[in-house]
Amino acid sequence: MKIKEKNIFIIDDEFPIIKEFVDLGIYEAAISSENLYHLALNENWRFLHDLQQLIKEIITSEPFKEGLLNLVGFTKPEQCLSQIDKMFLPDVVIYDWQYGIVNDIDSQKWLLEILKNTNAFVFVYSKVRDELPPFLNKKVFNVYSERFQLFLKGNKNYSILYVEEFILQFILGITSDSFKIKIHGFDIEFTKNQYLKEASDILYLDRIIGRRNLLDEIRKVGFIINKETVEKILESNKEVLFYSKEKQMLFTPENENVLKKTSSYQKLTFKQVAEMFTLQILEEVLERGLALI
Amino acid sequence: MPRLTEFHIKSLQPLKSPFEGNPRKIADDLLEGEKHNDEFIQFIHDGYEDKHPQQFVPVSIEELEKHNIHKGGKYPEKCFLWVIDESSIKIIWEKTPNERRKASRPDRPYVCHTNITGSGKAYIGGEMYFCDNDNIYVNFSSDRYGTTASEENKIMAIQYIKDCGYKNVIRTDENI
Repeated sequence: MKIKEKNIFIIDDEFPIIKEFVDLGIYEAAISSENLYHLALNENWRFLHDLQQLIKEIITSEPFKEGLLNLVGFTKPEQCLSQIDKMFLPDVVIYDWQYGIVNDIDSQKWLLEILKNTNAFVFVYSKVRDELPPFLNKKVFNVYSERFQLFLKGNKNYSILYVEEFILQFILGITSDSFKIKIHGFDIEFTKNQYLKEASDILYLDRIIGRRNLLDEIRKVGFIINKETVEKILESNKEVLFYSKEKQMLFTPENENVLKKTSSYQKLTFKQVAEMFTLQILEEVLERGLALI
Repeated sequence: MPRLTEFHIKSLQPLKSPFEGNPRKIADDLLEGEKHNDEFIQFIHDGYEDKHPQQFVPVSIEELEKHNIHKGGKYPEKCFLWVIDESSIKIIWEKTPNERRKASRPDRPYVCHTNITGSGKAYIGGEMYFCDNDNIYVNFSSDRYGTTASEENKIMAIQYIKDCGYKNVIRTDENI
């Protein structure tokens, strides 16, 4: 059965402007992936080189080559909304917040229209990210809160994944179980597995063993993330946690009071906790010192 | 209701950076949206001033039992995060929205302990639940400021919370 092609829309008014495209009216409607790629390969994107790189990564990815992804650009949200009206629907939208003279009310209205009229996941992708929460922390967005995320363009301090790396793994992850992602610029072969249902679940490992340790461990496993290498990464940590079957509880050894009150418990490694329970439970016990099962 | 006194500080010290003492993490491991507090100042309650945070939502007896809050269980809807910083106890409702954190923690688009301190230093931190039975259930569940605290730190933290005027304060790790 052929998997439906996923439509990725990028809405941004700062795509490089070239005369040839202006003369052909290309910026006045949906910009095809061929034309976006032409701009990405040949033009100066100034402060948007991370977006330029993201476009290159999408277009050269296996899912794109296999016809599983379609990438389209718009310079104005109204152009995108017009296509949505014609039932050309996005699966993912990368939505710049500012257009020309900044009007947050319009930006908010367009975003809401996109969310209302599609089932797309929207990355609100902006240079002024820190000014936006008051516009998004509104009741009207609550119902869509699981379908959008706010990102600072080109942010490298976000987590184990840079912002554009996060968006790339999200897009590739909706088409395939196994694909190449980027982490801190390195190519990583990723395969979904019993521990990591999505590539973004790597963030659990980030939070469990810390970013520096995770980057070191990813190097050691040859830039491949699958079930076996996740287990190796977890085994690299030699700490133990305590499990009381009687009290249905996992806890850290620092919990002196709990330890005193628990007569029988089993020592478990991080890998054993992930195997017996989940990475989420492992994270919870490390974060809270205790997790009730 | 006092600011911290020398008496408290003696058993709470040292002030710790986020994750200090954690064998796996350092402050650089804080994620996007976990370092700032300017956005939340209006919601951060100074326990020195009065008893209930402005976002006060009590836990019912049914919720207490269902989520085993008195035994260390978690119930984010009615959880308050607390830290004792260099001057007093600061409290915020955990479900205070944090849109910036959603990018790195889509499963938890709300505040964490370092959103109280602006990723600065604190003596200790954890969670607290204000219950309909008038008890306040307190734990030290904070990987940034609480889980590596010593028993002496924990005892004094509870003492200070009581000295601020909070009544019926119960350590959940004594209920296990």
